[in-house]
Amino acid sequence: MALQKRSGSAREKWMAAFLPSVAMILIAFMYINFFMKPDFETVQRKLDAAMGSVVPQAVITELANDWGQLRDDQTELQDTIRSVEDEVTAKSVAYERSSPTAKHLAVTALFKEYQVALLQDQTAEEIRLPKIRGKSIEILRSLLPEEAINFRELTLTADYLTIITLLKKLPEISGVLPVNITLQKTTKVAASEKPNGPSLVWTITLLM
Amino acid sequence: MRADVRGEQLSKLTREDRQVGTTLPIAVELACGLTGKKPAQKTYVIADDFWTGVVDLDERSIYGLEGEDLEQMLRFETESLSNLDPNTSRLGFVELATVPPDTRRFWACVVPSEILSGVAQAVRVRGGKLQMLANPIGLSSPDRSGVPWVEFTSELAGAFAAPAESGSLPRAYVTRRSATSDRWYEALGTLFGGNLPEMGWQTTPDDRPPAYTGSLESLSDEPVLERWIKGIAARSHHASGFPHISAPQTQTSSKTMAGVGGVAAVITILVCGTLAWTINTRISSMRAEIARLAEPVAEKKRLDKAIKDTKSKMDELAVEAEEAISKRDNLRLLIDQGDRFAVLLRALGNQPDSSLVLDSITPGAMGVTLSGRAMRSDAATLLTQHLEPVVAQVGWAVHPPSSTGSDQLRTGGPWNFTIELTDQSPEANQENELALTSIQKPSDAQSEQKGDN
Repeated sequence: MALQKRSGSAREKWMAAFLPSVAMILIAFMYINFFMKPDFETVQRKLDAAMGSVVPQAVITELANDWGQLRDDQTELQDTIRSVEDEVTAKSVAYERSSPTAKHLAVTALFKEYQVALLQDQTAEEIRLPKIRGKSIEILRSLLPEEAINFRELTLTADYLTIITLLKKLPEISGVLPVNITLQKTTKVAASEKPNGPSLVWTITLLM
Repeated sequence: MRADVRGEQLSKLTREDRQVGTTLPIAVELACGLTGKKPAQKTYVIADDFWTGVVDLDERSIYGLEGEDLEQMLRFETESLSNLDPNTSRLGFVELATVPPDTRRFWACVVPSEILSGVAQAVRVRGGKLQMLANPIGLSSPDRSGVPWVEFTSELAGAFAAPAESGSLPRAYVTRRSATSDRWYEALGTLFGGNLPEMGWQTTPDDRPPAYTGSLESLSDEPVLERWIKGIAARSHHASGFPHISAPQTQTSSKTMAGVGGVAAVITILVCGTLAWTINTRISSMRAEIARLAEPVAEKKRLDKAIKDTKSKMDELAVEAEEAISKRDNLRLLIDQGDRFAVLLRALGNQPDSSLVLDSITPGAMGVTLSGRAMRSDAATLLTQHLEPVVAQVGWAVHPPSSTGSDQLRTGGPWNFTIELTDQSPEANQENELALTSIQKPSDAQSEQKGDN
């Protein structure tokens, strides 16, 4: 017995004719429903979220202006730091430019020029400085090699005007700075002093 | 004759004589072409070119038959009357009221299949579509109110009665007229079931049988003809109660089917493609919109991060700047005021009181201590007033003097005094910075005015 699979009726032929269309509709339905629709919904949600967190152009402009202002401030601050550091370097470099002996030679030459009686000239290991000046010297020490900073105590007798002149001239020697001064009147008479008056004994502490 | 009917109203009636020997399909095509307009998509062809008549069958012979089987049986039963091959003809029928005791009566019409196809083709050629084919006899009652009526044409005679009540069957009898005998008239009356109706139609006045005594209207009268056509049109809308042959179902060729299927497939592709493209375009446009909206957000994030980083860097730089400035100020304090002792001694030398003697200058933890003697009690105070503005510019603050009288004079003097000069912090010296510059370079004239203590 043979099984009749096709009747050859018009209905069957029409169904066969529309079968590709039906298949396409089915495929399109599945593609749209199971692929495009979820994608569409996902993108729609993202769009809604993006619409909810929209940033106006005015805010961007304001932020850009703020950032520009900050960068200008930063540049200005960097310039300030650079100029300050340049100044610090320029101030400190004078103390290592000349050797300690050259500076000492310049100091003794100055004393000789003004005919000052130098009673004592020795290196001072520890000196007593006011707290604020001491801090400044520590900063200077930190900027220079250890051997570049020395203290020297000079004990001398001289008249008042000469001392003023010396104290003015000494800082003009590169790398030399008076950091302390002591005045004591003594009855000891130096050769250059008048015999009937008390003698002025000055102790000058130099940073050199 | 072509009658154009809209609803039940006759809109146009066109007539032309039919040539002798013209077949029904050709006559139909010619009738369709009588006006310039295309025939309707429901075109009824009413023609008496084919057989119609009444068939009585014994109820037992057709017991249980209905539908296709009954039609097939009727085709064979009418073969002897119509002389048409049952296998090549189409039949339309309607069952009439039963004839007691056991006869079922049918009113049928038969047409050769090729004639039916030809008529359908003729209508289709002219742009219309055949709805049905029927014989005109018995189609239109005179007043359409259910009153029985008779019809006489040159070849046929019939008597008709619509169903008396809903659900019952109509009564009718149709017979072929004979030119030689009146027995057909007697048979008509008998087989109709009694007296013939008193009113009816006749095609022409000549068609009236001599024995008939009722009232007949002639279709040769124009108003009567129009009323007759309206009656047919009204009844054709509900094609029941009279035999008719529906238009043959045209078999669509495989090629046409394939073409239609192909077109449908193409349209489906286009529609589905358009739909998918539209959705995809919408998704793309939404993605583009998201990207467009995300740009400012990303830019804001970038700027926020940049501002945060810059602020952090600024904070670091501020600390660095503070340290550098502190370091610089300390160095300035130390180096730029290198001649501060010269300034102090010059100021001491320039003090106006000649009776004041400075005995010592001693460095201390906070600055410098000046010690001396004075003949006047207010000399130390005057000295501090003299010193204060000068030494303030080189980083010293002058404190009020401490005095002790030795009570050797009548005034209590001379007085021993001490004056404390304390170092000022770099910040305090900022205000004096400009003045300091001028102090660093004192004029020579000032130097010459220095006094000797």
